[in-house]
Amino acid sequence: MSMGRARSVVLVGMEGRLIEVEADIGQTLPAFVLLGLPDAALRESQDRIRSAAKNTGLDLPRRRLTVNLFPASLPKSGSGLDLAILMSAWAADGYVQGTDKVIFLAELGLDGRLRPVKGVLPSVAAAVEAGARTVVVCAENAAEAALVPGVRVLAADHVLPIAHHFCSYKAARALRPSQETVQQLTGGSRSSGRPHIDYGHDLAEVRGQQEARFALEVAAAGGHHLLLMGAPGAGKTMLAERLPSILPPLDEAESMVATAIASISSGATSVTRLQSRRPFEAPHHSATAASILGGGSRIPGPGAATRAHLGVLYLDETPEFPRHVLDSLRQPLETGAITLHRSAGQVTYPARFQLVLAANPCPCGMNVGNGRQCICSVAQRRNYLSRISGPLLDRVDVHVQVDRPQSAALALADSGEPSAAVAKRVQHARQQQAERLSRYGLKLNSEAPLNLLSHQLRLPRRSLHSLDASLDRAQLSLRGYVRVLRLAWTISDLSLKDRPDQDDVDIAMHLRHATARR
Amino acid sequence: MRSNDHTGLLGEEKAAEYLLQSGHRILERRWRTPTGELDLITMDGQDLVAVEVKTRHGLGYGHPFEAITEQKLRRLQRLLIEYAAGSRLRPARRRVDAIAVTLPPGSAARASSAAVEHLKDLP
Repeated sequence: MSMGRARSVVLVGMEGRLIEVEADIGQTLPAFVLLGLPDAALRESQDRIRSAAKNTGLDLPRRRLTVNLFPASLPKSGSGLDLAILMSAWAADGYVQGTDKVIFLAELGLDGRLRPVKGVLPSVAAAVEAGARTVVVCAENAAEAALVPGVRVLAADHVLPIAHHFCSYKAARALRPSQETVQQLTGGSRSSGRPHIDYGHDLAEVRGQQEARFALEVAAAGGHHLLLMGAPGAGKTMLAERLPSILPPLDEAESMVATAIASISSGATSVTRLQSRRPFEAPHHSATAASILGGGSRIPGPGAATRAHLGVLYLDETPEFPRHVLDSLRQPLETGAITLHRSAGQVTYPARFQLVLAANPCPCGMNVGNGRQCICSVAQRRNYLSRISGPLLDRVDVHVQVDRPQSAALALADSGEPSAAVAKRVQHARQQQAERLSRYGLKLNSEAPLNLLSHQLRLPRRSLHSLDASLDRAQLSLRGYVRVLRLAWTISDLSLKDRPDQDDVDIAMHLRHATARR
Repeated sequence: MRSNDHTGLLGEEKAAEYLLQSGHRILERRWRTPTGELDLITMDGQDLVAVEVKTRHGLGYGHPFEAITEQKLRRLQRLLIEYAAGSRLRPARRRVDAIAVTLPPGSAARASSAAVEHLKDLP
């Protein structure tokens, strides 16, 4: 037989596509022809493959080797196809057998060593979905591949044990003996028994800051976006970093997605187990739109907004970000996804993150309290915050002032409530929301539309007294009105009430306006 | 150069032996014109065949077939047409073959264990 087959997966964005690799040996002069829109890295694979084959003792035939990657119309990139191409070539030569339905995902070194590739988790998940049962990866990727339930993982450091595993009678003599054997794992066997979660940062380290702590809790409970405003050193970053510690851990499906994103963006060996902690991304204010939304030539890669999917995107010194970068976040805030268009195709990355903005009140940062220490002019102050565009601020439900702790408050305050206690309340509040909103296909108060809040979830008139008054006095837009209602629901959920009362609405109005009043 | 010439001659010898065994009738060896040379010209049944012979000691400098370039193939085709035009043969078709002779590494090695590979009808 002069035809050989193997399979592999290429990633287009987050989506894995099954690739069938066919190799044919023709009886003419030596050549290596790679068909099916390979990119530069893939085209270079032919030299890696020849060397790796030679150094294993199973030289490729000195004939014309035609390798076809199916489907031919899909542009393919990356080095993850190396092993699949080599196995199909060997299969064409009759050295190996039984590779037709097996997924191979590894890069080859010149000496035949297997090297890890990016995005193994989403690739294997896609392969299993497409019906594959066996996956061969590099040993460093073995744990990651085995996170997918229902897959048999074969792993090795070198191509030699892999060749032995699939070896036909013909090759048994030619093949160099191998000391190692193929490592076998069964997918899904390790994901049971959740590992202990170590948050690193704990809310107990925050002293005082009662109002900001409460705002953080409300934001966590309802999934509301948050603006922290305060002088330098007041503790904005400290608070924001602790938000993931009070958010409920990711569930099974969510952690699969979060881990897949981590696998694609960080790449290689770092992924060994499903991540249950919510991600926290804090891009610097010099970040470009491409680095936050995702970008790159051909098939664009994910950006910070996608890495923060299901977690927290924290923008410190928000007014210092270029305005178009901030405004580009409006689309993912609405839709929870980012679609990037390039000539090679379009990809959609998930980006449902909780946005936390932090800002100084003015360029010098001292315009707090009575503002006596501030050296900025009125125009400077006004300009500074207007760099955050209205439409973006409008999507942020909770605005809170973070004051510098006074020495008295520091001395009096015990160390604050630990994250675990707050997380428990947040969890209860989220449960209550989910029970109420699941009928409407929602999970969080922050997702509730006006229609729902003003009909099915309408509050009695007496609770809304002050809110209606401020709408009438034009202190609040209709959009602001909706946001206050959502906050009020979250606040009542936190105290496990059936529905918000007058007090809850008042607190919600305060959280919405805390920074505007000063 | 002398030792390479020797290698080439030895290889052509081996190739001719092999072709005779597989039923070729050898018409010319080292047929030369001012513009080039054909290593072997044979009749394989009704086919007129130009055979390019490549010989190497070992594979350290790559496989013999890898030394046959596109340009060389074109030249072989042209020379074969020239030869056919000058002869009174009326072959059914013309074709170009290549033979790789791989000798054991080292010049002192015995040629008895040479490996001969034959590719037919190159494009």
